[in-house]
Amino acid sequence: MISEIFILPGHNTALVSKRFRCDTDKEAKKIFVQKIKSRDPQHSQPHFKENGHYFYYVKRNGLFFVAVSKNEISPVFVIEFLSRFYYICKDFCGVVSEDSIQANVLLIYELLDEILDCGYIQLATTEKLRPYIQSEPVLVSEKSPAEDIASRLFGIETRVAPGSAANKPVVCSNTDLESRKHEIFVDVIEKITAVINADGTLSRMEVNGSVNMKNFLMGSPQIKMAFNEDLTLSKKGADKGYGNHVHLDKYSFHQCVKQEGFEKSRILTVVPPVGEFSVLTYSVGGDMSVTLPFRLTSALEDLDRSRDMMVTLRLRAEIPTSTQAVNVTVSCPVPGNVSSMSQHLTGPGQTAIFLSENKHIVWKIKNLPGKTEAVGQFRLINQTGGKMNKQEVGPVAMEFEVSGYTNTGLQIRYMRVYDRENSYVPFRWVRYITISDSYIVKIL
Amino acid sequence: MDIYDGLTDISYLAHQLEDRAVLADSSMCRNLIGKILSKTMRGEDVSALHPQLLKLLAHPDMVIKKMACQVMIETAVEGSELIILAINTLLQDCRDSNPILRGIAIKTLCSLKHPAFTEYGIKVAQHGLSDQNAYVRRSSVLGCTKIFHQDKMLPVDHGLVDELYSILRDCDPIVVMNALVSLEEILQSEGGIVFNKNIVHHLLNKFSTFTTWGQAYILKLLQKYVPKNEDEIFDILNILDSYLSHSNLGVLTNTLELFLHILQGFPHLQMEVYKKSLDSLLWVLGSGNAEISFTMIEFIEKYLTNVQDLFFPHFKSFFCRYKDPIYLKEKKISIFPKLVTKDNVEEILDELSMYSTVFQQEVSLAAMKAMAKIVENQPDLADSCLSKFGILLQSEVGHIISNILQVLQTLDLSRYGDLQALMTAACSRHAHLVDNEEGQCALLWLISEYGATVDEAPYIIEDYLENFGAKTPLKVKLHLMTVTLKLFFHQPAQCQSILGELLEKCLADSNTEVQLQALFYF
Repeated sequence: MISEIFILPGHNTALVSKRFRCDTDKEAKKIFVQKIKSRDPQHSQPHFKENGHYFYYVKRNGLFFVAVSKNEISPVFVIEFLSRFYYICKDFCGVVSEDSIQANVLLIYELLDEILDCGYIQLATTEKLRPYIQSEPVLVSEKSPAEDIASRLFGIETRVAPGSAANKPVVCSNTDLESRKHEIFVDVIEKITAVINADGTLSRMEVNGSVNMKNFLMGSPQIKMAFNEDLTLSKKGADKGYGNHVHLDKYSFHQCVKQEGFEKSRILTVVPPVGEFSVLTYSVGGDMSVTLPFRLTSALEDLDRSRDMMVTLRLRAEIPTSTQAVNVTVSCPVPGNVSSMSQHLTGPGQTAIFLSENKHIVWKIKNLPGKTEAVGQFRLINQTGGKMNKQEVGPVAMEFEVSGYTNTGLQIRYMRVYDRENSYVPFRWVRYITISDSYIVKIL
Repeated sequence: MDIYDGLTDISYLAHQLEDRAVLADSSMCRNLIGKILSKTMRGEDVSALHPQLLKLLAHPDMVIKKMACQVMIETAVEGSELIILAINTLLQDCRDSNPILRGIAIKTLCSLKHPAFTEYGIKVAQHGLSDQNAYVRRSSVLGCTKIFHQDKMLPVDHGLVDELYSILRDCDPIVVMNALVSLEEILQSEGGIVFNKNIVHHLLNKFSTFTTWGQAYILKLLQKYVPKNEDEIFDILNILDSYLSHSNLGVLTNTLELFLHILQGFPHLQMEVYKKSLDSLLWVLGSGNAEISFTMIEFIEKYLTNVQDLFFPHFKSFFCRYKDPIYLKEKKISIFPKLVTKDNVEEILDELSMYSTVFQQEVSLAAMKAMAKIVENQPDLADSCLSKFGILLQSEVGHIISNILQVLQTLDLSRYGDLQALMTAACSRHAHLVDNEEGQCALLWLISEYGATVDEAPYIIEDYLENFGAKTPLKVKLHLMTVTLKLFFHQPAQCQSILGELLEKCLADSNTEVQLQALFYF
């Protein structure tokens, strides 16, 4: 039985707080804040007991979603619920941030009223909650300045969905019912975890992907999604065949997916609930012949007549020429006795800084088109004396985002919506994005 | 909506809410009640607004009414008049044709902590149990629990326990779930709800109709039931089998616990159960949700000793991701010593060495501790570990040396001659690099234990002596004395003057513990 739920932003005043049972201290919030602020948030475990109260929390977007209880409840259960609660808030408010929660306080209170009664969870799906919620969501727009200027200068409605279109709340108010666009967004997101040895061979790699759908359509239309024809799913114990076809090792479908046609023609029939959910989550791992999206080669040389060392990093993007990687960050640890660094970078849009607290070089590349290279030469200056230990250079950690590309090659060939009741043709948007989860390249 | 309103605003709010035009405008009213709600949340006193609150309670707009109820529940402990006046409005709402209004009214009536209300509350809740609409029944059932917490005898006096038992046959699954948890609370003094065969079979047959969360609650409660014979056990297993791979982890873990509980007499079947749920348990670790990964690893840890073999091939799932928060990395690293076998020891050690050199000190220390544990628990696999330690000792980074010295302190190095040599070499070369308290203590302790072979030991001590002052931490001073004394017995000639100087300084030290120890040695 959950006694209290509150949402806390970075500073100490709670945005929303509701008590369901009167057995917890009114000052429970203060106890939580004290405990969390006393240590770095990275150290605080997601659940703990303090002052006779049990606290459970998840941290999303800088906001803490906290549940308090007087009795011990299974932590897995509460944390699953808090994650679900975050998604419900997202469905109703569009974006979850301090501003949007503050603007929608009444809505969140209504939600909490209906989701929990006396500390027991009654309903926690967007669809079932919608009939009970009367408040209208207030949109907090987060337009980037570029978009703003573009829309003012050109004043045209383009058919390219801006990045923020998918941030609208799924549940709209009654006034918007007429002007609502019938849209469905599908995001294929792949996260790569890889460790690559110094000689370029792969130590291990795992790609975790999910096909997420954000459904703005009313009613329950049937949607047929077709994937690559050469997609194979791993059966237990069978070996993966050779060849370039797309292969998924582990996969799991959402409950609303009917898989009958999948074996033959790779078509899924989905009857989606309203809101955001994952149609399919999959993972590909182990030893496979998947191409690495980035190759990093390095050279370390000691300079003559000096105690300095020259580190050359050559980063090559192996992604197709039609795509580009953005927000690429290459972070390289360096020996402890490096005092400063000088750099030589090819091309504009690149910056490199040396962080002396944790002895890292952070090289940022704004964008790197496919099949191109970026080279960075860094001279590590040693003024403190002693030789520099080459062993302490690396391993390099990379972060990147590539849109329009999936590492496994998974693609949605087409998506058709069958709706008997309505005569509109909904807009269907599909986006592919590959991001790094943990991409490590060893230097030595 | 600005939540930082000043205190003077209470009079402003009162004034606004007196105005008829404002009351008629729903969106303005919503705004105002939102402000009152924020004030209540911050603990401010809003009793001055009670008359206005009464009006809002009777407002036709549902949102305003809900929020007014909310404010009343929070603040009405102090203001009793307000509640008495509100009774009429709420009782009227209980008879309204809109079921949602009835439900809200029942919820509010049962939540108010005032003796006058509990009588009304119990009557209304009892009446609501047989309402046509499911929403009203749900609220009424939990209303009984709320009343129970205010007056423990009331529900029993009114015969509600029997009514709740019979409502377990209701057609709405949430009503049934509410009845179950209510009974569990109301009958707490007697050990909670009593399951008989009929109830259990009824629940199992309708299991798929419950909400996911309802299923999780029921699975937890079912642990109380003792099946009478093997057939019953297998019936339960068959019906609930598919939930071992459910996507909601609360349901999955509760199902697993339930199965293990009822299969206590069948260890081989328990193993089957573990195998079935293994994939789903491991899948979570790759999900990227840090909090869930952490709690799942804690869950797995509870059972790990029974089923270590099952997890051996899956050690890669526990490898740390770059962006994992520190608590998660520490947790994952602590699991590795339990998963080590001949086949995977090299890979695990490679990974741990990589973690040992990261700049996050806690992670580095945790990784080294894990390696030391492997050495202790599995001596036949120790060689590779020790060679890794050897490589680490050559590092020039302060915190790595300090961490590794702390860890080596826990091992009995006399068994590992090579390592001992390496360690002593490192001590002499890098003594100046160790800058944190724990590292220094470890360094001194190691010298005291194995100092006979460390030639430069006296010079290291001299260094410390030079820096001896008020800033030196207490523990370091105490260790310093111990180590000097031990060295004295090994190399009296060189250490005599050092010892003398040290003891003098310690005797003059302000801390009594230091003084006492110095006196003792003297």
